[in-house]
Amino acid sequence: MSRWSVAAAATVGERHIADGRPCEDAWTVRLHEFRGGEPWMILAVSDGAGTAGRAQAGSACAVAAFADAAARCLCAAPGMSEDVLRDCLGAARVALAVEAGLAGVPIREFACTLLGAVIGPGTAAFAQIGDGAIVIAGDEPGSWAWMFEPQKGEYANETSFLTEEDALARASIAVMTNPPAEIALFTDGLENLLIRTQPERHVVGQFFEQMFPPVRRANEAGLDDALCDHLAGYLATPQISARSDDDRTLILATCLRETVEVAIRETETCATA
Amino acid sequence: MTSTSLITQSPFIADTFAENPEPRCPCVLVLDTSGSMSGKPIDQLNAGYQALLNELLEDALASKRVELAVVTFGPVRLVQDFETPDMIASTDLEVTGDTPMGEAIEFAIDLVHQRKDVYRQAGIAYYRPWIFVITDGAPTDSWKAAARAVKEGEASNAFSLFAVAVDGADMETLSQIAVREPIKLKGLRFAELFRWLSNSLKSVSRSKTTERVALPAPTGWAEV
Repeated sequence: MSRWSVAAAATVGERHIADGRPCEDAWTVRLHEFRGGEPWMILAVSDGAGTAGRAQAGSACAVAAFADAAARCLCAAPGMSEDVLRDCLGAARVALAVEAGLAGVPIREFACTLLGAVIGPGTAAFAQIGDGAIVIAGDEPGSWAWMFEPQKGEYANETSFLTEEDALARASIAVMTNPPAEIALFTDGLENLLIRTQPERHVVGQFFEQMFPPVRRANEAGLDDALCDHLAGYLATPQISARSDDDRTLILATCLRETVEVAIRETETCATA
Repeated sequence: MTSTSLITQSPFIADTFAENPEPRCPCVLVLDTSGSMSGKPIDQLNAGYQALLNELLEDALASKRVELAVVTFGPVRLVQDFETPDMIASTDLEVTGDTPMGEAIEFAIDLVHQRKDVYRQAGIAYYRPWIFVITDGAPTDSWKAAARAVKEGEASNAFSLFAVAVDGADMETLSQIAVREPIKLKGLRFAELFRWLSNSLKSVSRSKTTERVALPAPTGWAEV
């Protein structure tokens, strides 16, 4: 059975501080056990749009609603499909619409991107609306690949948002039967650093080779609070902030080997609907 | 007749992008250096341009992302091809001849299209380009084609063109060439104008919105 060790953090961008705005990125990590021991992991990151008045609420709502929907689907039946994943994105969008309705504002006030991963026995499902990226470890040690092209318009500051009418139709979705051993999700504040275009488009593998070892060395499965704090601190260092003054969010998840003694940090039993 | 042979592609472009893969914010300054600009106007324009370079250099991200090109008229000359501020050796702008504004604007639009091709081939991201026209006179050439090209470009979101009218400029014709209302410069406040431009470029070069970037209000240097 796969158990995952995870570190996650979001750091507010210097540009946001200068504008008096809070961090408008959000993330969530959920580790569940269903049907008496079947482990599933749900990861999501979201980046609130710069022009959205309620960007912070939007991204927080989107990741929570996506994870809730995925958990409900998994509770009902094991496995993930493209349709189910699209429904989870849809549920996140509905949640934003509800918030907008309650607040009496247009849904675009909650505009945000959404990147999600749902990983379980023999299944890895990924979805993306907007920019940022999901990177997975390749079969060869030290090889990395991104799942989807960041969704951008012609210009660098244009991307898709979950709140758009055709968001679900334009979402990038993929389901694999062979889960990767390591997964990273990040918002576009880190995109320039982690995906290079010269001499041709490639993931900066070196970064992940440096960042994953602490996560791999975790003694137990689950979200490691101490590692999360360290990660947050690292994302705020000058070498990172010199390359990006935007909010930066990163989730690093590594599959622990079965021989390692593991303890489940969080277990969820199915709630009846 | 636009002379595209004036646009030379540096063989070192690929290396530059490898060293600096930041998304680019291209801005073309189209500057009237005709006879009427001689004396104080050209001096202030030079000082303002220098100040723009200095301000951009002080901003870590802008100095890597903003790319400036300078076209003067007339005759139409490319005095500075697209470069990031750290690579620009500043030159003094000199007073020249007449005012072929139409040709200069068409030239700048071609310059922008070609630069986008360069970015796309190199896999470099870019923001919507700016074309910034500063003139104190009236066009001495036919400008209808330029006006059409500006209209098409703005409508298709290919670039944003701003026209700044120095004292003496033919506002009426400028209003027909530019889609946005031309801004009238107060006296010779080029320094303030270029400071506003540097702030605006800094905003654009780090923006991440789908809607129009809210630029700082052009107070101080623009006549209301």
